[in-house]
Amino acid sequence: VLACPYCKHVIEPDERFCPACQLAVRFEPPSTLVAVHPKITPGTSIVRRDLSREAPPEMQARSGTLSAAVRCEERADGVLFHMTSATTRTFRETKHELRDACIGATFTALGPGARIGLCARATTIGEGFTAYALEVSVDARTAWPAIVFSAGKASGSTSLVQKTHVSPSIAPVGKPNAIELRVQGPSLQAFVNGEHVFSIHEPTYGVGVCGLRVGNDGLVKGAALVVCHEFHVSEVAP
Amino acid sequence: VSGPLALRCPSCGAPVTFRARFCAYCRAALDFRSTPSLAGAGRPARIFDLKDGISLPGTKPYTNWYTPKPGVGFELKVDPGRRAYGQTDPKLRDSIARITGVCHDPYGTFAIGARAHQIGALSAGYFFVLSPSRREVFARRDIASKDDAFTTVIVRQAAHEIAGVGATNTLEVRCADSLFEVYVNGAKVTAFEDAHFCFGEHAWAVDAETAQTRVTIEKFEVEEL
Repeated sequence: VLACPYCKHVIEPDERFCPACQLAVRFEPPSTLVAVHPKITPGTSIVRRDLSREAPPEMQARSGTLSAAVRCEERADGVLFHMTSATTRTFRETKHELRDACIGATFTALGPGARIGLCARATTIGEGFTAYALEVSVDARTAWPAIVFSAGKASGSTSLVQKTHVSPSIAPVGKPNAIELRVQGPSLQAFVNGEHVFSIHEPTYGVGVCGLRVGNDGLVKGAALVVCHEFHVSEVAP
Repeated sequence: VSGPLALRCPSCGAPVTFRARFCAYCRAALDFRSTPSLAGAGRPARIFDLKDGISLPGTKPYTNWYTPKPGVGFELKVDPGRRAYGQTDPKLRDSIARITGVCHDPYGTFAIGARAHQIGALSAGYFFVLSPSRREVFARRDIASKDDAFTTVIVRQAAHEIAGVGATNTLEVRCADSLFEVYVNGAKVTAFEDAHFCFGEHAWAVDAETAQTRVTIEKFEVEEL
């Protein structure tokens, strides 16, 4: 008996997809099932925000105080986010609820402690919220997929992998990083500066809005500074 | 083509999402001109025939008022504003879940949960609630932490097929990808599309509204569609 590598449901030897979670599998003798991920490529543009001229999603202006810990100010090359304590803020493109999408943004961390990221399929239920996220630590040069959530006072992030992906393609502090999250059906894929970082199968969420995330990982003293230069969303190309 | 067969790529057989423009694996163009019906038989995954004297899955001891009654069902008494709840594997995307029960007073409802999942300290999923006293069913998305619960009602439907207080009702939910169909006593009462939650376990729930309620659940079943 072969078990699905994702959900452990029984898969018959002649089946190419898990009947429970729809993971595509390839049989490798003598008894291994390997996950197969589809190729996801960006297609027609849906949203493109040049933050050197436009406000980030959910914001009316390019500068202002968002909370006691987060403020932003306009710069010639984008919007500078200034985060004084361990916090992460999500800015959602609320007009477009999408199933399959390629979401991207370009950031430059100006100091240590910066977290950059993207979210997809964000769902709001009252004061509750769930979403897939691509999280990137510029200092550690690591990236990982996560589910981010909140419900009233409870909030947090759960990594979808046991180990974060160390990626040499992540540029250090002071250099720009173009990050991308591609979602199609139950497949999530991440790219940093054009390099593939990970592909995972995650069927829990099917539709929602996209957005960008900036944060302070709280591991160093002082404010984390991140410039976001642009944010874009496109369809998945056939 | 009926049911989940319509959610397979006709070229390569890969699972596809409803309204997808092309297959993610073979890139064949897809054209959904109508909403597929989810009618048809499923493959049994879990059967809890409670007339056999067994307990509902995940029964929690906070009321201690759960009474298996062989030949009758599993009787629950629930305090006002409280919920009795339990979850069962397997995790599925496409499924049929069915619950048969009797609300003995106007204060109780019983429900099926679908695609229920935990994220950190939170739980989320769909709930399909049958209220015999109001003769209505409603579907909602729920997200809850230990202290807070939030709900979005997706559809609320009165149905004359629902038997009243003291009578037996069978609530059935069929789901495949973003498609949902709700049946009461064998009659389809509502259908809708919602893709927010796509995978998870099934659950049963009994809620008490303004006063303590007594509900007997006779059977709870989960099938793979």
